[in-house]
Amino acid sequence: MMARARNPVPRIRQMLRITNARIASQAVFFGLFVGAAWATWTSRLGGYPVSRFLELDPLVFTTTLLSTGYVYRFLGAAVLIIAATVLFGRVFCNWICPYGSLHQLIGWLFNVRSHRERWAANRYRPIFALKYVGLGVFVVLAAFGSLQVGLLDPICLLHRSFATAIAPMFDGVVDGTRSALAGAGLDLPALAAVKLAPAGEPRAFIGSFWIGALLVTLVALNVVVPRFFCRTLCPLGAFLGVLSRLALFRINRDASACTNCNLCLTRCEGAADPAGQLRLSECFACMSCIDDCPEDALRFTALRQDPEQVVATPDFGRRQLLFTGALGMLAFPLLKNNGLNTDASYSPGLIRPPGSVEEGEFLKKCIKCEQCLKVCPTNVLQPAGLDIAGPEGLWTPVMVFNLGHCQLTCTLCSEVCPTGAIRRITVEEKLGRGPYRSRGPLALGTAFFDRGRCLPHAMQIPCVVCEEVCPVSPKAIQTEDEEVIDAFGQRVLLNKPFVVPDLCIGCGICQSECPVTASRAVYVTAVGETRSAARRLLLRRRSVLAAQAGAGDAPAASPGAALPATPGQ
Amino acid sequence: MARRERPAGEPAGAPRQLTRRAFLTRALGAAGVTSAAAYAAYAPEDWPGAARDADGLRSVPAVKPFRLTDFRVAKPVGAPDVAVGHGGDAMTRLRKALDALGGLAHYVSPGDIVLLKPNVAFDRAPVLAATTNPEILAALIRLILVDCRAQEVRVADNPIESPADCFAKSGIAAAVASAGGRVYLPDANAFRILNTPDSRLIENWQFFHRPLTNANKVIGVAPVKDHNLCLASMGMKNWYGLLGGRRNQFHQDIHELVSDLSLMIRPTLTILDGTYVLMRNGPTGGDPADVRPGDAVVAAVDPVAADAWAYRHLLSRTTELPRYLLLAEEKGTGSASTEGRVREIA
Amino acid sequence: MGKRLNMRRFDPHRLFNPLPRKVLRRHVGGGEIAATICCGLGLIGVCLWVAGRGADGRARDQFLPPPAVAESSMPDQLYHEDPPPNLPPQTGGGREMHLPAQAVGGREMNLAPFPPEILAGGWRLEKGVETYTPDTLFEKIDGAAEQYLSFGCRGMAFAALANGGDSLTVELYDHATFANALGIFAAQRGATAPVTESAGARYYETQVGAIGVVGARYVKIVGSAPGSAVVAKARAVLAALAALPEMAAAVPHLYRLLSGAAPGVTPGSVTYERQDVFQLGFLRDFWFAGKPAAGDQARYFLHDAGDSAAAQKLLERFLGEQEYEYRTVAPAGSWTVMEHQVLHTFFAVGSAGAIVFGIDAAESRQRADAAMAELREALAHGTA
Repeated sequence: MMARARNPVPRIRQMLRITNARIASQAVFFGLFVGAAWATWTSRLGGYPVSRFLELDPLVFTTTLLSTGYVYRFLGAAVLIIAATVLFGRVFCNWICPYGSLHQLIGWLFNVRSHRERWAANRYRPIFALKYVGLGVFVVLAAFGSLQVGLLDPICLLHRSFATAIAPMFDGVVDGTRSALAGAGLDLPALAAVKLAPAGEPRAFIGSFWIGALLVTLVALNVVVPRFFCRTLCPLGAFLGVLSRLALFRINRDASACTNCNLCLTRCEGAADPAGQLRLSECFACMSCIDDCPEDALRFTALRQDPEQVVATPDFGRRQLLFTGALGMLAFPLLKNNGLNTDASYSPGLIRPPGSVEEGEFLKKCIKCEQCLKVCPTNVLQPAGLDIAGPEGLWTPVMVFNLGHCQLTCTLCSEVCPTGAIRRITVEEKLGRGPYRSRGPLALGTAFFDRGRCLPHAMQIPCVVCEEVCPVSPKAIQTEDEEVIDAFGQRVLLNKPFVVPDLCIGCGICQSECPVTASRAVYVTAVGETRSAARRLLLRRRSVLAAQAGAGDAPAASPGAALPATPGQ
Repeated sequence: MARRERPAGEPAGAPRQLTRRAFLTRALGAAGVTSAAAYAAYAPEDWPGAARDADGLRSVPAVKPFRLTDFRVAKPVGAPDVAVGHGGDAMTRLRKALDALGGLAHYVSPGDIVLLKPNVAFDRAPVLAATTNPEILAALIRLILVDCRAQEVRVADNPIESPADCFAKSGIAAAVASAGGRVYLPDANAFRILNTPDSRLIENWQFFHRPLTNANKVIGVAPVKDHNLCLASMGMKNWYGLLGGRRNQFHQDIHELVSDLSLMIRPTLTILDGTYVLMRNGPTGGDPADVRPGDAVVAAVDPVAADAWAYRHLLSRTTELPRYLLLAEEKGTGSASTEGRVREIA
Repeated sequence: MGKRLNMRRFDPHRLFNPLPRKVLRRHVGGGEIAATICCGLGLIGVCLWVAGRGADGRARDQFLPPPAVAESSMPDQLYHEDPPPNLPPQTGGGREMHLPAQAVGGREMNLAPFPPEILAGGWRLEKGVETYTPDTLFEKIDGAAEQYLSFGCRGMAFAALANGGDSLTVELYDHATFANALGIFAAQRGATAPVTESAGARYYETQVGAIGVVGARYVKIVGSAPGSAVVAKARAVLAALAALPEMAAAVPHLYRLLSGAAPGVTPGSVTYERQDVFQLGFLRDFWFAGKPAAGDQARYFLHDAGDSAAAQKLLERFLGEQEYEYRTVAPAGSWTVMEHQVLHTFFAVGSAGAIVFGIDAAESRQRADAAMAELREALAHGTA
């Protein structure tokens, strides 16, 4: 059409305008996010900072600081985003956040509105203040000691969706393509490198339907309301919105030049009303309004700001604040006091990955990002449903040994955990070797036999797969050997397995390999986990005592004594 | 159907009428859809393109098993069935054993595609002897590629634990890469049904098929390990690692299964890696106290004799041989008697 | 404006965004361009930083360092058996159990540990050789197993042979040392049975077989009915067993001393007691020999304490215990003589170097003194 030919700005200057920098930034960070998801795998991890998006998240930083009083490992990186926000406002939302970029991409792709409809869609609505309620509730909960921010935090939500829904779906497509090509006589092993989680078996995640459905719903809402999630629900956006009142730079409207044409609303991502008084807490600093102003009345500047043209604080009064605080205080006991996750009554399947801190601390730290699920090579880690962990622990990682087992010399989940819910441990510490000998291995739970289903015990059929695969030495599954005449008159040697609880580390390989599927004849439950003094099973581990006696070690540290310092990176 | 414009010249307001042509088109379409559906529903099964499945058996997917060829090569005249190399490093021991057997070049020809099957069942360090020693594997790959000028060396196993981790932590992935081989990791598409005639338990069973595509020589490279259920895991039990499916059921009759494995695949050579021998707590091990240095590499054309020798001399067991060796003998794989069939090179 | 902008209405048939991206502004300042370039450089920097982190900084944590594995190898004996030692066939206490019905299948090679010669003369194996470990020994000889175990039994092999109407069973107990085998032999033998010693086997014949010691093995051969054929076969089996090289066992020097050097003692009377000698818990490993003269109850005894200090200590403790029943007749000198307070028999004990020697139940003091002198002479001779 005709419009562009008339623009007096030279093409090279047009190319170097700031909105192009923004698009490049979004592309790079989204690429880095997908790359990190790709690298979150045992053979690729190397030293890649695959959890850095989570560690940069200022809301994770703040809420874990509130709930635990400490800043774990790399979480201090969030200072970068806080600094960027107090300089430039909510740049994170439209320059870095991969979830924001996904929303913007989908909204742009399926946006079939006319200009006037766009202006209407991009006007501020009071419902957008809802996110501040969510933020308030999450912050209050965190202060009381229950970290729920991961449910809606965009980085956690996107990581979770990638790990449990998108990656298996994508890998399924790749596998299907490969087998179709192989059927046509063309084997492309290189396709395995494209997969996000190239395990031998297709990966499965219990309840991934709901996680995927939440993602799809939120993304699809962009067709109805542009950036619906970012504007209405995002607690991180709300947090940055509160911070952005301090921002040095902002969009400033030159009221004298403005002709009130409303064209600046055409692509306004944050619904921040650049056409009137800018709502600073809503502005994503996407800079599109500058591009769209035919009068050059809008600028992103620290100087020459017109104080009349801005509303610096969120649309959130003291009444709402009080209401939010009360809601948070009500929510805390509702989450906690349901009797599902106490030391007396907890699900037998509440088995946390190795290195996890004690359950109460765990719930103060876990942000449900499922990085551990993504990196787990055996698919044993699963998002907990309401039945296992209660509403408070929804989507926290638990081990489901029907689907896999905890591999003996693997500590990858503890490596990628951004908040220290799974503390970073070495293989030495996990197995209780070297300097950790006096404390013994980290046990996840204890194995039990269902002798009514076990083939040698109940049915005179030889089996003992469990004993074969038991990875500890000496084996925690031992056998009593008995020769019997079976129902068909054959002499059979039955190795009847039993568990030596002192040696069992709860890795679950016995359960995952048990041929009595449906309901396993050997199964691991959470009791006996070393992380918790209250959920212990044995008075003492005789194996550890024996190891000490052999090594002439000093007496074991009492339970709960300070652990040796974890080597930092 | 596209919007139908009112034909020109028709008076506005007059009731619309279907043209004859349009009516015929519609009637034909309706008849076509109905008869196509009727054909699909009622055409007898032997008619072309019939979809009828009266007893529900037609829709059961047909299993199309494949068969493996016999990879054996006749040994040179005068060579023993089993050769053992002692002393020196891995390469030296391997060479001693292979040379006594007539030289590797007798078994592997230039241009061959060779599959090596190590035992990488667990993610253990090599010193724990739960997996094949990477040094011997690297040495063997070099011999095959350099001395025998084979086209390609593939290394494959279907471990119990995560395949990538097992290959990495056992040191095998690095050893294979440095020696010029290629690792095949299993995935869901890598398995096909293998038909093994005369076997009792695995007549048709999921098999790690992909690395065997076009391969014409197969060499098993197995560690020698204690095993609670079948007494010892050596060269024959190693082939268990190519099975897929619900293979943990086989423990219900492990001896029959292991002897079936010797029918399933007829390897060119069986090599037993006695660098470290797992004396107890097998097959996982995990404690160096369970391991004894063995200083031996066994190369054999008779897998039964190789296992029998290793059972007596590397595991130092004086009890009777594992039953699967006797069963394999009955099935005609080889002979468990080692009398006069073994040559040891110090 | 409607002309400048595409004011197309919302069209439900359209799938994707119809608007091209347009720039309406007329000015792009130098600061903005500089900022854009800085952003681009920053992004490149971030990418390079991430790429640089790919070098494997983590892999080492995922391996257990071999020194840590070796150092923390568990020495506990709670659940661990030692690796199977290199034992003669079928005697090891390994966990391997026998599957006769299917495993043997009439195969001749499964005769182990017995030599093929036991089938000489038309004898055949009735069923497969059975082996028992210390844990399962009671299954075969319920009630009697304890005695074998107290003499260090490591395992038993059992074979049933038949030839026409005759049949006999062979029980081969592995006692690890010659002394233990001799001990169980002496404990189960009647005092009067004459012991034959031939070609490495010591045995006595019964009406239905033979019982004896071959090296470190104790062998019981019992036929189904009395008969010379059975006894002859038993002798042949013992000879065949004694001919096996792995049956050779070292003969302790105390045995040789007692049976050869001490005057008047026949090899058949030498016995061995492993524990609770004289019903005293601290006395172990004693060798005894008696003269076969009629009416003479006296028994010589010898014990190797290891070194002279230990011998001295043992002697003191022994004498202290004896004082409850004996009174000391001759307290010092080379040996101590004591008289039983009720039976009035004499007991003498002394030490020479690491060896404790003595006589029990002598009828007179002179007899005791003479015996002690003889013994010391023999010891000096034997150890010189």
